Amino acid sequence: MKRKKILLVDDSRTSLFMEQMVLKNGPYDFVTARDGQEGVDKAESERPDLILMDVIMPRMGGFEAVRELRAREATREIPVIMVTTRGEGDNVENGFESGCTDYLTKPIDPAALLAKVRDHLGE
Amino acid sequence: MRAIENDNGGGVREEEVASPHAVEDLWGENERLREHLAQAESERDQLAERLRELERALEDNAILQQSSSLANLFVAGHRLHTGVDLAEVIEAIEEIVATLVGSEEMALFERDGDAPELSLLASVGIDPAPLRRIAIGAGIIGRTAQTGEVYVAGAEGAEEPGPSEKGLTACIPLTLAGRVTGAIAIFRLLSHKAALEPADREMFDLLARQAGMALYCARRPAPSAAGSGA
Repeated sequence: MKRKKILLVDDSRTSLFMEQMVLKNGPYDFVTARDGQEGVDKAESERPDLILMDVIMPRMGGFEAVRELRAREATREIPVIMVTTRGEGDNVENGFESGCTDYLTKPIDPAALLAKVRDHLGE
Repeated sequence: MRAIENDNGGGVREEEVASPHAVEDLWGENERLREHLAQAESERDQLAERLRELERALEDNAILQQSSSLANLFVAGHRLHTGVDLAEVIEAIEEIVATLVGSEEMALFERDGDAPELSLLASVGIDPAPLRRIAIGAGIIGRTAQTGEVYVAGAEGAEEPGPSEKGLTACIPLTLAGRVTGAIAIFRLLSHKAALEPADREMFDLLARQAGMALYCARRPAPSAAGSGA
């Protein structure tokens, strides 16, 4: 099976570690970024197959980062799953308006994370 | 209707004899019943298989839940003990509460030796003013430090938080060598998390055992390179 590249964008090292631990047994390679701006830059240079994006981050938040990704030719089609502590309707709606593909709420449920990643990678 | 002689010649009995069409109808009905029975048996087998699948899925789900819980505990333990200084350990505790428990309102307290009070070390998402110092034994947080027992709101026998601890969901004593060295107070959970779960209790037990140790180690001076070569 061809390995897929996943970009993890989160300022929380706990979240980054958690996501990598849950997904490490799959055919995935990881790239990480600690804020939205770094996430956008790495998405452009690394061309991941999927992005997991936190919402509240320093420098550039997740919603703004997704809008930026959608505005760029190279990253427009990359699926983005927002990973957020804000699970209320308004926030989820904002996420979809900014162009995210799906969302997950924190605390991260490992089974749900794995299922969504597989789903968006067509596995 | 026709009359049939008894074989023993002892009389005549009457027997209803089906017409050829009626026989065909009966055979047809018989065939339909057989098909119906076969279909019912097939459906029964399918249901039994689905039941077995469901039982397997429930087992898998239980295993999945268990492995999810273990993953959370592993991540928490790893994060607590990779912090090299106090700020990193505090950050790890805040992230564990936010990411693995599901609350962005917490306070972290320390107790200096046998001091009669807890002092606030860090807080997130709450007004820290009323929590800067809490006497040991006062309120739920002070009593958690006194008894060394985890408090969970809504648990059997748990008292209701007073006005100064409004929204308190859980309080975890931090222990080191059997002594309480601090506490973590967790206030409101994230809006989409309805209640604490059994896995959260396991996380609290881990924090109680290991967060105090991590804070203690972070406060100790790093070993100097000069003294390590002997």
